[in-house]
Amino acid sequence: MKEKKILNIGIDLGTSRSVIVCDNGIRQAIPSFIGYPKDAVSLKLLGEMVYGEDAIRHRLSVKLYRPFDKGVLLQDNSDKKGEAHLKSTAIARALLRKLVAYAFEEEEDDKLLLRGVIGAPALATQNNKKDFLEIADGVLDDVMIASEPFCVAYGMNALNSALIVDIGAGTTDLCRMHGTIPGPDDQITTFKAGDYVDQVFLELIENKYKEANFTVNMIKRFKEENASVSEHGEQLFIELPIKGKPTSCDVTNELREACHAIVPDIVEGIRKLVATFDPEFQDGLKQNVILAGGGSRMIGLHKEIESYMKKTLGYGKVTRVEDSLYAGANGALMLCKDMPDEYWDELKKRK
Amino acid sequence: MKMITKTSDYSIAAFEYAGMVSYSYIKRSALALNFGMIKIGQPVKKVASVPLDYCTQQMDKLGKVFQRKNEIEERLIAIDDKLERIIRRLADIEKSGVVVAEKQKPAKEKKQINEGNKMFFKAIADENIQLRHQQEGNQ
Repeated sequence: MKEKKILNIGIDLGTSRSVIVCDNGIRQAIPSFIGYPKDAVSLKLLGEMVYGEDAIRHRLSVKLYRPFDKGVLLQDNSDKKGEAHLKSTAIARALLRKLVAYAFEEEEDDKLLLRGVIGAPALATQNNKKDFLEIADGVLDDVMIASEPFCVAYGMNALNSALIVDIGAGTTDLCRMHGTIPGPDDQITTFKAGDYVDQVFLELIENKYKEANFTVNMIKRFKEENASVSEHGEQLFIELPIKGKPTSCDVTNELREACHAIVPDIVEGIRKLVATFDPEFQDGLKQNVILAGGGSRMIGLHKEIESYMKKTLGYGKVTRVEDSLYAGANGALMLCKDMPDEYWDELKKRK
Repeated sequence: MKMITKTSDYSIAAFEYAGMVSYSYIKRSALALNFGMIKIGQPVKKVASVPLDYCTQQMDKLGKVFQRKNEIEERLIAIDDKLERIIRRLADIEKSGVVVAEKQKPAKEKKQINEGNKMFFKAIADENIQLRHQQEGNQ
């Protein structure tokens, strides 16, 4: 029998965006949304399911689901195998299937062995990781789960003396790399991330423009394009409907304040990880703080963290990854490709 | 005598003149006739020769087909010969215990593993094996 061609895949199933990167050059990011038609009319118009941008665009005619919350599968905590869990798993699997379909767009599915590494939040529990395995069952042939910040570090070859800050939508993961697999003491996860900024921004605009009528989706895109903590940026105006009339509203201070809301937790996390590290190696860690994830695109954030580190830790050097959206998935792909075959085979035997 | 000579000269001249006039009439008639014949004959010739040309072309093509068929047959025979020779050679090779490449499993390309990273891979693989164990236990 002819051996199947192995297709290596790196996946980042994010709260806001899911990303796939493959060794055949395909890379794709879609919003982590799935929509199911509300009635027969929308079913005829849209089909059984719509994904990503399409789901958001047709949100009035579909039931919109986001399978992940705070970096892990959305579920009812009281009942592990309850209805909410099963539903979230099915939705997440459909999303993953859609993502993986991009991978073999140009190749025949039955001739490929799909091998993937999925990034999980730094402090995801064993159950959270098992959820990811369950989601991948039947979609990927071989799968491994790895810590998301570790994937970022691996992709950047920063496995020693580096502090990774991965700012996603649901969580901000901080992880210090010191040449071994990071343990729980090396990692901090905070829930003040992109979604939190959206929430704060929404509240601040609501307070300032009480008559304005808008949703979080409307301001989310604006935030993604203009997020900044810098004091020297230009004035920012967003068009919001006030009594039905589109009105230009100044939100410069509100957006800056909302973006600032996640900074204290990040800098406190950095301080903790540096302070609890071996004193002889603390300098190396301070010199190599790396920002990744969608939140790292915030203008002025690295300067803000640097100035805080200067105040509290003496000094600090913060850099941003070039390809912030794909950094985690790129690292997962590299890990997937470099993982020796005997480990994959061993895993297969246990399945 | 002079009179006789003059008379004969005039007679010869008259004869020559008559001859030239006749020649002129004959030539002009012939030219007119030829022109008419060309004018009428050319289209007739064209129309009449179409079926004949067609037949000639078809015969030429048919000839080529027969010629080509012969060439293909020759090539097929040559390929058959080559295949027979290959099969005989393969049979000889297999007698000596050598297996045909198709039946062999392709040798896996060994990955270049960075020894420094090997402990990371081992730790990740072990964690995933453990997760699988737990998953099976739950089921």
